[in-house]
Amino acid sequence: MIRYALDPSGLNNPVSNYSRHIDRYVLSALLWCAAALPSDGQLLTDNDLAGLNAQLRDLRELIETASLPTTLIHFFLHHVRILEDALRNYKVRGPTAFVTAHVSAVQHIAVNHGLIERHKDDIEVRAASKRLADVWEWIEERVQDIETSHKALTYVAAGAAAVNGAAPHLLPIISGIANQLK
Amino acid sequence: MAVNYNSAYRLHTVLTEFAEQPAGTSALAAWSAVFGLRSDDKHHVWIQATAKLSLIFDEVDLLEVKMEGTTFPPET
Repeated sequence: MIRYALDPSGLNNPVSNYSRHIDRYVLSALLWCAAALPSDGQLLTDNDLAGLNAQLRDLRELIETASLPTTLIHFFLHHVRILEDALRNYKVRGPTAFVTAHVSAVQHIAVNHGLIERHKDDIEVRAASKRLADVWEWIEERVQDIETSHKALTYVAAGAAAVNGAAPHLLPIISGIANQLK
Repeated sequence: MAVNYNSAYRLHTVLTEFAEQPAGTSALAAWSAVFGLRSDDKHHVWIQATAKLSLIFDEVDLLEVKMEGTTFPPET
């Protein structure tokens, strides 16, 4: 029934074509499964989500108003987008959305660590890096007991090795959550 | 009944919100409301909604795996 309700081939059809597959029996069954199966992560409250949203808004504003080289602006905005996507996906994916975001962030840092290294003494780069690391630490404090996957662990291990030598302020991003995933 | 935060709970949350959307709207508009998608470009929203739906399919697969791997009491 759920798979019928999610068929993306007729998104222009009326919502009733889909919602008839989501009757009270389906929802009751899901609620029973939710109770019977173990929890796989800590639930972020609405306040937590609003707080993270506000932090990302501030970080975006800081980057957009800083007098950074264009390449660095793109670098930091890419990380903001990764986190914004994780926030949007949280409703569906739960804490796993932040695992995926973490993997993407580590990979991006690994690819661009030379760029950050060249500008690591720039005050504005240090400020933006610090703020980005603060956001990740904030997430790490709240998203506990993240369900791990072999794929995520593999990526994190490879990413942590690759970023050895990256900007000091970004290293807590890798080490903090990578330790949590072990 | 204590409800745990897991794939079943997430599916319940998302599907409940979808089912509560006004009957006259299109499924695309309903999913856009559920996922908070905003764009004037309908094709862009379509792509985003399809990507989100693929995430829900992943959750359904995850739920099936979890149910198969869980030992339930005999009475269930």
